[in-house]
Amino acid sequence: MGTLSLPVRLALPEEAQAGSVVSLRLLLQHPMETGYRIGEDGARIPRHILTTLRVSYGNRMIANLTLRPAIAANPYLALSFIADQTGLVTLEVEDDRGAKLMETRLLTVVP
Amino acid sequence: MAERLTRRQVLAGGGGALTLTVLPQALGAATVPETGDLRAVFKAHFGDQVPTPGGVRLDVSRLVESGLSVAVSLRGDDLKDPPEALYLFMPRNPEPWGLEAHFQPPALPELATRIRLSATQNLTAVGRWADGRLGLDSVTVLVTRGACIDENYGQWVR
Repeated sequence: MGTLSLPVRLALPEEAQAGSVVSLRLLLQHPMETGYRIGEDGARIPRHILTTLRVSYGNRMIANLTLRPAIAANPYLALSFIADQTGLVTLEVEDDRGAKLMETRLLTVVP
Repeated sequence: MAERLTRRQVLAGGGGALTLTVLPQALGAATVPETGDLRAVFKAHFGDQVPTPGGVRLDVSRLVESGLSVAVSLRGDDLKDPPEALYLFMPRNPEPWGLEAHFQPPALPELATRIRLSATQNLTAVGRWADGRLGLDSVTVLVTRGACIDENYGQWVR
């Protein structure tokens, strides 16, 4: 509960040329337990998945993803956007047990 | 002589007809394995609108060893006419709705991830545009070993 204390690996350049495509790659450590597997005691292992990923850039929400059990364990996600201003890139990740993770990086845009 | 003639007749006539009638069905079975049914899923997501092929591109390997982690990427075809949302559906998974992504500029309408596939199926990406248009791209992915086989018990769990 509370804050997700998961390792997050985020690949995002610190600097980009104005108008260029910036790729954002994210690797999260999470079981993404589907809720369909049966454990050693014969009971279903309860679902535990990441549900939401939101990306904002320069105070604009640019991507909002709903993740489902079909996303593989330790999710990898790659997104891209056009660099148009120097600003903060913020990632917000939530799971279905109320845990949250926030990661912020500064992207400097050079002309 | 009479026997040889009949065999030729069989080969030339009946045999040919047989291959002609059997082959399309066999090919159909091989190239379009169980597709599952997305009609109900589409209805739940898009109401009465039905996506038609085009506008989005789905890239995925056509043959995968393990359904536990399959790399996929999906994107809108035309950057000047970007879809506002992308969906990924796997009709034969326990839950066919796999992913939904909404984009706002300056984000590009594209993403890559890794997914689970429980069996061979027609993986389908759908794009939805702001004006309500829907487009899809579908790829049949042959899965040798599905994601729903429990590694510890070797049994199917759904």
